[in-house]
Amino acid sequence: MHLEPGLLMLPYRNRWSRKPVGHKVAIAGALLIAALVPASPFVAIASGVLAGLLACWSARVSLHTWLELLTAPILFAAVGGVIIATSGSDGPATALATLARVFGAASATLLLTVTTPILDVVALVQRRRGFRTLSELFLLSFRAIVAIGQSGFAMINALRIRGLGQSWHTAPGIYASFAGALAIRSLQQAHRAEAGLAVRGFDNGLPLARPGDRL
Amino acid sequence: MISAVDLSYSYAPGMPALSRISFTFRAGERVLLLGANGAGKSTLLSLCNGLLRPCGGELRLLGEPVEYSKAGLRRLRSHVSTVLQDAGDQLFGATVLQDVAMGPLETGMQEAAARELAMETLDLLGGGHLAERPIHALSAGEKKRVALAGVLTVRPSILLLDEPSAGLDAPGEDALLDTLSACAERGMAICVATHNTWLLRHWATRAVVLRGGRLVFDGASEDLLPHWDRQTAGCGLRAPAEAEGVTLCR
Repeated sequence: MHLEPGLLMLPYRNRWSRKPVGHKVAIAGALLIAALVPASPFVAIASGVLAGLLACWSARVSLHTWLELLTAPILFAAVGGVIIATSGSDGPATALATLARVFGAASATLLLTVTTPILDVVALVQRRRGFRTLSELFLLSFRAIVAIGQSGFAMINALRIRGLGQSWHTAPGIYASFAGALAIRSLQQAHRAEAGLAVRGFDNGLPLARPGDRL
Repeated sequence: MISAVDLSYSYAPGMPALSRISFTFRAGERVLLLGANGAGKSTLLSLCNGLLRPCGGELRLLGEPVEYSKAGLRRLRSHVSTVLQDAGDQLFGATVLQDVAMGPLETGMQEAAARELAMETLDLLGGGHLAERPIHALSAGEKKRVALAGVLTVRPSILLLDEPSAGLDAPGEDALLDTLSACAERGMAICVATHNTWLLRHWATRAVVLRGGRLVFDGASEDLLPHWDRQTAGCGLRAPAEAEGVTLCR
């Protein structure tokens, strides 16, 4: 999948972008609970469909974009579903129920992702008293993911403009090299972040929760 | 060779990054693409190598509109090569030689011939001694040299470079410019996107100046220099003479 710049701007440019973050978190959270908690997988399917309707009809995210983004988690779950389906007598039923729950949960999470910039969610968490450590860890993880993501996108673009990995006999070697190079660049980026923290006076120590602290 | 007709691009609705840009890069030209941060230089390079698809207008390669199919983009990129600002992003091999040989191998060349060509190109750029070095052990300047070697092995007819002299010391910059001049003499069109107006006096034959996504000057370098203040007002660029002073101090 090729992430267009427009796709990355989606959380900032949809009809829900001005809606209060708390409302969006509450809606997505309720749909997530509905997908995971009730015994019947049909509730999960209904939750997924409702999330899709809210995203496409109310927030005006295009159906094509919604389906494109939903494909990866569903395919990932489908691969696991094959293993579940072939392991035991009630395997197929369990696999279908799992897929339904993944559909519902992924749709609920995606509804929040496409309508809300992640930093708004972080800011919401930071405003809640007693969640400081959790929000710091969340933000740090988010920055790490963004840094690796940016490296990854830049390198994928570089693969394209160098025209590498397009024939079947070169692709395995090129993509293996790509994975190795991405790992090394991520490590280098982590070292740079560590140095950046050091020069700003942080001593490599993350604030640790003590017994009794509220996360 | 490559031309743009009313090329426009915006990253988000209502926020144009480039508006109706038209130009033609011809064989052997040494073009300097000038503009402040956010003027649209990198966007223009990304349109020229097919990473972005224009929202309006047309990009033409050898007189024909560029097709954005897999085959069309492959054709475009067989003519247009790019060296990115952070050259480390485009290096994938475990060693320098392995990386530089990737391009020729992709075109179906035998491994021995590809390695020989890679070695020749590295020698040409004064990087022969780096051949067996792992990529992650290279300095920023060395990475830039290796990235350039990697794209030169596929014999592009148009070479785009984003801030190629950033991070290079004076001898490194001189060597890079000599190589680019040699490539231009062999008929390659070269476009360098930079803030470094010093290159206008010492290297470029043509200048393209962008301001806020619009083309404000396109012509010979010697036509721009006498009217610098008028032509580049508000572009956020240092005057070439002033830039020369900064370069000498450096």
